[in-house]
Amino acid sequence: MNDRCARIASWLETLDRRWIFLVLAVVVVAALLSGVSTPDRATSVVQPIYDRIENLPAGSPILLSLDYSPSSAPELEPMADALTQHALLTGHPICYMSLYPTGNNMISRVEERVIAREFPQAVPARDWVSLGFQVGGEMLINSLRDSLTARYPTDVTGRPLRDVPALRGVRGLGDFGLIVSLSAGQPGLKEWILYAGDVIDVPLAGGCTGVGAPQFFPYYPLQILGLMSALKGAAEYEAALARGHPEFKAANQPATRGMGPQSAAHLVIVAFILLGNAGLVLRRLARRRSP
Amino acid sequence: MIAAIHLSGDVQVWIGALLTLMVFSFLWRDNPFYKFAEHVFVGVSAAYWMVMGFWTTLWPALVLKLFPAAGRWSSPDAPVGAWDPVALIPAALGLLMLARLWPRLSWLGKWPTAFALGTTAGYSLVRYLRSDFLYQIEATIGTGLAPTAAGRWLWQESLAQLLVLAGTVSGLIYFVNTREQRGAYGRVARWGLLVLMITFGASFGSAVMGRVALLVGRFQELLGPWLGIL
Repeated sequence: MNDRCARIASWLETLDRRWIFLVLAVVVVAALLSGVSTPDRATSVVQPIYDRIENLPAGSPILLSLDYSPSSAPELEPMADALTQHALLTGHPICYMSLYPTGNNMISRVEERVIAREFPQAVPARDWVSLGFQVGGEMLINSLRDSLTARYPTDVTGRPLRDVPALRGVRGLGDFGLIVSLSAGQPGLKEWILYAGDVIDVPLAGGCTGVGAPQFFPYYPLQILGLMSALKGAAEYEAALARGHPEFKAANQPATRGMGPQSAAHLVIVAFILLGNAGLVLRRLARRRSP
Repeated sequence: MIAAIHLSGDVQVWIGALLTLMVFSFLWRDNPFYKFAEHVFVGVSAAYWMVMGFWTTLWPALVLKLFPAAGRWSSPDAPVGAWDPVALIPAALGLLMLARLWPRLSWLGKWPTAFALGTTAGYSLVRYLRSDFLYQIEATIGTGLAPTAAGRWLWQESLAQLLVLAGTVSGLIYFVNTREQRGAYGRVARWGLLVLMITFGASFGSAVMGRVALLVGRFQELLGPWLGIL
């Protein structure tokens, strides 16, 4: 018995970590291929964002700041997709911008993947407008508070903002019905809270990566309306959207599809943690029983 | 049921897929394919940042303000702006920053650094004090320990509020090093340590969740656009 405990313990202690990587990869691929998904529903942190868009007066513009680069896209792009779908379904013009240099490409991806494919009837400048990236981070937000045209005289196509119907009645950040920052780091949601949400009376919400989530939860609900955290937050938003707008069920739901493999991977990680701890317990048992 | 493999004909998809596999190969062990992908990534990132930095900062904020006619080179139809002598100030500060490259003149680089640090710190101090200090105190104790709605006591919110308050206070007590942590005071400090450990655990779990999401994203790209089986 003693020997067996020691043998199992040493096998677990010397297990090559590459087996763990392999098992994780196989499980994720199997979950993706099988199409397994986990049922989700919006929690009280995500639901207010959905409710805010749902209850906005008709035609109220929404500012969506895509503050991320390709490395964070798997977590944040599903949020951008779902928010775009929701805004266009409910008739609210969207204004895209970015604090990240890669922002223009990120905005183009949403335009191609969601607007062009699912909303071919949407008209540029009327239903959505892209302001693109501008350098400055928090100072950019600071100057946009009073006047959008101070730093964005035109949209990315060169059209003067006064000729953009989507921004009719918008002078500064306070005129948006909702501002959402999908944030991968700095500059991002934190700067939006410090330099916009806490300074002027404008509803501010956010989406963030899993790594950044603990930093932002303390701001909810006093300083931000709601928070979508990583793929899980995006899946919750998709669930709220599917429940409120059944026609969305047929749409592409990347976060919901990704949650199945993610949950499977989490189970594998939990199993390996338990296995590692079992090895530790067995080693102690073997030591205690050895003469 | 798994559909038949249908390899993509898109060169961009192939480049993305092969670079992904090269990076994944590091999980086996360090190898030339990983090194290649790593160097490509660093090189492309540096070049991208340099080009973006020039065209989004130096060109509009400096060159076009000092030499408005230069705008015709990049976009012939664009209206020519006015000469803005104020741009000479950041230009001078930028040049002083470059003085750090020469040891005898490097002291000049302290001026723009001091300017940037001073203005940023001064400007951010008020914002951080309000958002990260005053509002966070309000968020912790602002709603009181017995919140009600329509005359009804919200016991769940009340419990949550109590936990947040107890966690915050005990966490702060743990960091008070001017008093020995013994007796009841020590027990509160140990509770604070426990709260901190739970917080770090939640942060780590959240980070793992994020990394797994990135892994799923990569496999979605490999199995979907590249192999065509999703």
